[in-house]
Order: sequence, then structure tokens, then C-alpha cells
Amino acid sequence: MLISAPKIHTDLLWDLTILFSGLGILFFAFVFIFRNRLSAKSLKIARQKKILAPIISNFLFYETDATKEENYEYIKLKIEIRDLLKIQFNRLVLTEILLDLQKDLSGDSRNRIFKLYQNLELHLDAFKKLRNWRWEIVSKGILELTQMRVLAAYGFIKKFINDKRGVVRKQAQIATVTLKHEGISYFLDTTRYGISEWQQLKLLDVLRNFEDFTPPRFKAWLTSKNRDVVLFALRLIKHYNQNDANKSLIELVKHKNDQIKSEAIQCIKDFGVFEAVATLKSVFRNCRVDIKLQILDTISSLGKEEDIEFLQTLVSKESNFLVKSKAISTINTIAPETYVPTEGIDKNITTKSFETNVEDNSTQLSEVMNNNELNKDDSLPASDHKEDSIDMQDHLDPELEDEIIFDLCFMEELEDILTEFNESEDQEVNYLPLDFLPMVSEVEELKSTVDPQTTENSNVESKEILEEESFKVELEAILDKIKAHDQDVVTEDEKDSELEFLPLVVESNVEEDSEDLIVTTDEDILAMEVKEEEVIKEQRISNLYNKFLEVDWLPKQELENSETIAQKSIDWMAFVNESEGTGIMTQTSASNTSTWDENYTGDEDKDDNPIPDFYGFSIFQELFRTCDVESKLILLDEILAVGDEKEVNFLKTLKDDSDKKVRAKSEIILKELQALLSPEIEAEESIAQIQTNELEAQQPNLDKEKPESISQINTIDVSTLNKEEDSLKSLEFCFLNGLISENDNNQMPQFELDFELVGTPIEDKEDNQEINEINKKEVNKKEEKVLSSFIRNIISFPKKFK
Amino acid sequence: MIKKNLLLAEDDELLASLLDYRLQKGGYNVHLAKDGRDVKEYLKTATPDIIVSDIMMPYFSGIELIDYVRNQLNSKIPIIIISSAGNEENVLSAFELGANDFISKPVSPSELLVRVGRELNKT
Repeated sequence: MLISAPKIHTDLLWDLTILFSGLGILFFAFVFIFRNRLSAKSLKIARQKKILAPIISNFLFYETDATKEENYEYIKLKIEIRDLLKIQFNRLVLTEILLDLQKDLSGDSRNRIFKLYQNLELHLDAFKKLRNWRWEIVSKGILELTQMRVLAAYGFIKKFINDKRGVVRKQAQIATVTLKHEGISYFLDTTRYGISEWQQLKLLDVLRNFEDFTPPRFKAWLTSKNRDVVLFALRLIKHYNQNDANKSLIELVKHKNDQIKSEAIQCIKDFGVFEAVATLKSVFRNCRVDIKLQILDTISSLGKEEDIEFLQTLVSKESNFLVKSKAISTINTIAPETYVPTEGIDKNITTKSFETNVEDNSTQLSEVMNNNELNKDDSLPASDHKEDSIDMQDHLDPELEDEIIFDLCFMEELEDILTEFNESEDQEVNYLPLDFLPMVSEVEELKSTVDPQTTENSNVESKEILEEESFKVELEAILDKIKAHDQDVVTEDEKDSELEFLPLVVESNVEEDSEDLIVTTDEDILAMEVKEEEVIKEQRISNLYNKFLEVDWLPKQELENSETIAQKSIDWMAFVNESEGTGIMTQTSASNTSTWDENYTGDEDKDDNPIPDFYGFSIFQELFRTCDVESKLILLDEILAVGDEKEVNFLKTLKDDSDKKVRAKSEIILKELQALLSPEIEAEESIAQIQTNELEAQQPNLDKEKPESISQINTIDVSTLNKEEDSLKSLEFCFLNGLISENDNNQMPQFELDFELVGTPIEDKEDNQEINEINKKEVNKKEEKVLSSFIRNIISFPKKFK
Repeated sequence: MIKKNLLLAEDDELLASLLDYRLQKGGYNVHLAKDGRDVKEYLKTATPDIIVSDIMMPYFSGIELIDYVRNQLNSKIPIIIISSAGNEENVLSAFELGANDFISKPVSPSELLVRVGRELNKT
């Protein structure tokens, strides 16, 4: 069977072609006509706007004190516009102009636009629109009346608040709230429909922009049957901080709607409604997870210790991880440190060793204190001291946990630093960031040693000392490990070991406390041996130290100045580091320098270790350790603003900074700071030079006395300084000149009258054989402070005149 | 008294017309430019005493205008820019390029007049 194509009549095809072509033409014709009509209309409007705009401008800026010509022009335009207003098109254009202008203008001009709009009776057209059956026309009418602030329209518009047509309703809601301040109350009272989130934001924005608006007490709408009204009222209460609805807020926590519940909880937290905690706990179980978290957050703000039981129940029973974690965090907020970290912490090792060390050292320390007190104040009975020490130990126990955590952190940090240090063995390192070590403890310790009266009555200070001692034991153990490690790494041929500072640290314990401490530290310590060359270096440093001890005219008051002690000790460390002269990292804590060998022969130091320029510790050094590049750059600016000679040295170290910006800026700041400080630096360098000369002179005969060193100060040629104009002299110059002139007369009233011998404990130590080794160590520490305070005294003395 | 020449660059014709009227009433010879090209053409032939320009203009923005005046014409004519609120970045750029003052939309014509007078008094 053949398939044959259907027969289509040719005429039909032609008819269809003509039909579709005709439809196409018609379509394009419509498009063309409507487009032209629209563009013609817009052109006409634009043309009319150009005509009407100057008239509007004239009306807007007309002033009563205008000239005759202006008045004539104004009247003429008024007549003209009345004729124009008879035409609907002109009214439309005028409305458009005024609506556009009110958006672009502010102030008085805008208010004039509103008045002009009503004076031209254009608002009547808008009222007509409200009666239109088409929702978009009605909406336009409401918008127009709202934008032109036609207050008379308020009564008409508010009827649309519950309109069935959503757009009209929303437009009416905004208009009602905008036109009158009481509109918000009317809206909340009468609205039956839901209020969308977006609508709430828009309404809030309207309220926020009101001037002189006194918000109603929104708690009145917390009882509304409209859920969205309650929610909006809660948000408004929070926004306006209306904290007079606590009872309602507590009730709303029980609301079935989670949004309302959440807002109520937030309000409770913000307003600190403590009485709501019980309700929060009671509703907790049936809430969603996010509400539970919010409740816990609120309890953490408002909760008390009696709420911890509830929270601990949660911790034990709650299956949700988030809620459980939040409960723990809440407990820790109410009662800090109730839950301490447990994961990954080896409690056994640390706790045992630490407790032993603490006990050992606290016993030692109490002995030291007893000895000191017996020496300095014999009137006190010995039993009192023992009681003190016992009290101290008792007082220490509750702090043990914190100390363990601190030591763990410290040990980790120290090990990290040393790991980095060993990795960069090939590089010359000038600075080991151990600034965090015992700055605070040092102050307290010195307080206790310098001023025993303070120590004996202060448990806090005693505790600090105990911490210091226990810390030292820990440090000792760590550094012994380091030594052992160093011995493996460093070959015997390496004279300039990067860990030359180690003996300084270890020695105090090895020589004096070794027997006691070895028991308490790792067995590795037993294998430790101090290298000969390390001992030599140590002796060199102690030699310097001894030379400074010869200077016995330091002011005693300086020692007692606890505010500067920490700084001084650090300054001394900086000095010791530089005195090594090798550029090798030698930084260590001040407490570790306490047992330097006093049997020093000065010749060694004379050749190898010239006394360097003395620089203090820059406060910015610590800040630079932790901050980012941007902060560093800011800090550099601050250095320029507040920096002194201590920062000059610190800035020099920044030349090797890893960041290019910091390097570049530090060089600029260094130059600027040096320029600023040049007179001061010169003076201080002179002083440092004096000290150098003095010590060099003392080296052949360490028994030389102070006047000789002072005489060396007299030898400085300061004639050039005297020639300078007084106005150009810095205070340091003045000081130097004053000092020299006094020396010229062989009179040193300042030193003779005010300064006392502070180094007496050295002699006491030699004479008094009964003082034990620990007491020696304390005395050495004191001497060290004396030494550092001496240097500081010299440098900071001129500043005291400022 | 010789009136100062003011170039007002604003693409919104209504606002431009209104400001033009207010500034003329305030005693200035105002030249209106509806876009950046007009401004450029005008600056080739004349040198106003002060320029008041909108930032957002067709063809040649207010920022480009400032750059053109300061860097190509090497002129120190005071420039006051008009910008809509929330356009801080453009305003900052304008100040960096050398704008003398800034006024935000919606504009108060009286305030603009005061600012123009102040800038001209500075010069």
C-alpha cells in the first residue's frame, strides 16, 4: 500500500500566507505606533518639564523681600501656572517634577516643594487615584500622598491598612506610619494581616528616620492576637530598649512560636532579666537546638552558681554535641575553670614532678627568707618566720593547677624556640626572644630581697617567690636538656657555640643547688658536664660584673625603686649579651646570672671583651614579637614619636627583619630618631665611654676605689660641650657639664650625701661563714640588681631632672 | 561687581535647572553642562572660577573631570563635587585627586551656595 501525500489546495496556502503576513504587519504596526506614542509622550513631558521647571524654581526660591521686578515676575508666573493647571497633562508633569525634586533636594527647599504641591492642588489628583478600582493606581496615589507629606490624606489612607490587595495594604501601612507619629500605634492596633520581615524592616526604617519621635510603650502590643504584631513589638522593644515589660517577656518565652520565643529570650538577655532564668530552664527541654543554644547563652549572662547544677545535668544527659559544649562553656562562664582542658594532657608526669619541685623549692625559699630576716631583723622571733613559710606553702597549693598549666605552656614555648634555634644554626642570631621570661617575677623577687619587711608580711609576694623558685627548677631541667642536646650537635672545634649562654643558666643550680635539684630533675642532668670554654665565658661575664661591684657609690634608693627594677635587670641582660662581643645569642633570664664566679682575672676580659655601648631594653621589642607587619609599621611611627636611645638599638636590629617594608621603614625611623636624639645619644655615649675607660683602668688593679673612677670622668674633654649655646643643650648635656664641673672642684655632694654603699652584702658574705649557699645566691642576685641599677642610674639620672 | 563664573556639571536636568536658578540668584554666572563631554568642551574655551560637578555623569565622570582639571590642565580651580549618599569611595577618590569640597544628595541649594562662596573666598 502506497502512502500518498494529502492534497492541500494551493489557494488555502496563499490565504494562510496572507493572513500571517497581515498579522505580522499589524503586530509591527502596533509596536511602532505604541513606541512612537510613548516616546512622543515622554518627549512632550520633557519639553513641558523644561517649560515648567523654571516656574517651579521661581516659586521655590521666591522670597518676600524680592525686588519689584521679581514680584512682578512671580505674579505673572502664578497667573500663567493657573492656566496651565487647567490642563490635566500639565498637572501630571508638575506632579512628576515635584516628586523628582523632593528626592534630590533637602532642607527648606524640600519643605517648600511639599507646600507648593498642595498649593497647586495637585494632591486632589492623588485623592482621586485612591478611589480608582485598579490597585496599581491606588498604590500610586498612596505613594504620592506619602512622599509629598499630605497629612490630610492620613485618614483616607489608614483605611487601606487591612485591604485585601497586598500591595495596596503594604503601601497603606507604610503611609500610615510615615504620615503621623501615632500611625505606628494605629497600625499595630488594627492590622489583621501578617507583617512580612521586609515590611517590618521598612517600617523600622521609617521610625528610625523620624525626628522628635517619642515611641509608644510597645509592651502594649505584646498581648496582640496577631503573632506578627507581637514579634514586631518585641523587635521594637529591643530597638528602643524599653525594659519595662519583663513579666510579658518571661511569659513570651513559653510562646509556641519559635521566632517570638527567640526574640523574647534576646530581650531578656539584653535587658538582664534575672528572674527569667527559672523559666528559661523550664522551657529548655522542649526547645529546638538553636533556641537551646540561645537559652544557654542567656544563662551564661544571667546565671548564678545555683544554675550550675542544671547545666551539669545537661552536660551529663544532653546528646547534642553543640548543646553539650555550650553548657560546658556556660558553666565555665558562671564559674570559671570548672571544666579544665583534659584532652591530650599527660597529667601524671607533670603533676608529680612539679609538686616535688614546688615543695623542695618552697622549703628552700622559706629557709632563705628566714636567713635574710634573721640577718636583717633580729628582733623578730624565728618561730614567726616559720609560720610565714608554712602559710605560704599552704597558700600555694590551690594555685598549683594554674602553675602546672603555666609551666606546660612555658616549656612548650621554650622547646619550640630552641627547636627553631637549632634549625637555624648556620645563621647568626642576635636575639633570642625570651623576654617573656621572668619580668614580673623578677620585680617581686627583688622586692622581697631588697625590702624584707615587705616580704615578711606579704603572702602574695611570697607566692611569687615560690613561683620563681619552682620556675627556676623547671627552667633548669629544660636547659639541662638543651645542654645535652647541644653537646650532641656542636662539635668540639666550634668555639663560638650558639648556646654559650647555657652555663649562665645552669651554673647557678649546678654549682650551688645541684645535689638537691638533680634528684628532682631528669636523669639526663646527671650526664651533663659544663664545657670549659663555657665556664671561661661565664667567668668573663662575671669579671665585668665584679668590676661593677667595685663601684660602691650607688644610691640605695635606686635599689628600692621597684618600678624600675625589672627594666634594670633587663637592661643588664642586654649589657651582658653585648659584652659577649660575639654577636651570638646569649640572652637569658636575670635570675640565671646570680652565681657568677667571683674569682675572675681581669686580664682576660681586657683583651677579648671590651665593654660595649650600653643600651636599654626597648618596650617595642616585645610588641614586635607578636604583631603583624601592619602593626609593626604603626609601632615604628610610635617609636619615632616616643622613642629614645633604647629604641635606636632596637631599630638597628630591625635592619635584618624579614619584611621589606619593616626594614625600609625602620631605617627611615632610625635616621629620624637618631637625628632627634643626637645630642642625648652623644651624651650617653660619652658616659658609656667614661665607664669603659674607667673599667679598663680598673682592670689591672681591681682594688682601686671609686674616686679614681670618678677622676677618670674628670678627664673627659667636655670643652666642646661648654661652648654650645644653652638653648641647644639637652638635659643630658647639662647633667654632664654639671657633673664635670663638680668633679673639677673635687666635690661630689650628690654622691657623698645621697648615695650609700649597697654592695655591703658582698663583704658580709665573705665575713659571715654561717650564711648558707642559698643565701649567697640571693645576695648575688641583689648585686646583679645593684649593677644594673648602677648603669640605669647613670643613664637615667639626667632624665630625673626633666 | 563682577560676577564669578561657575561651571555646573549635572546630568539631571531638573536639578541642574533648579540649582542654576538658585546660583544665578546668588550672584553667579552659571554655565550648565549636562555631561562630561560638555564640561571638557567648555574647559577648552573658558576657565571658570569654580566648578560644581556631580560625580556620576555620562561619558566623563566627576572623578575623571577632577583628574583632567588637576593633572592635564594643571589648574587649581576649586572643585565642589555632588554625590549621592553612600558613595564614600568615590568621594574619597575625588578628595585624593584634588576636590576641594563635597556635598551629598539630596542637595540643599542654600548650603551649596554657602559652600561655593566659601571656596571662592579661599582663593
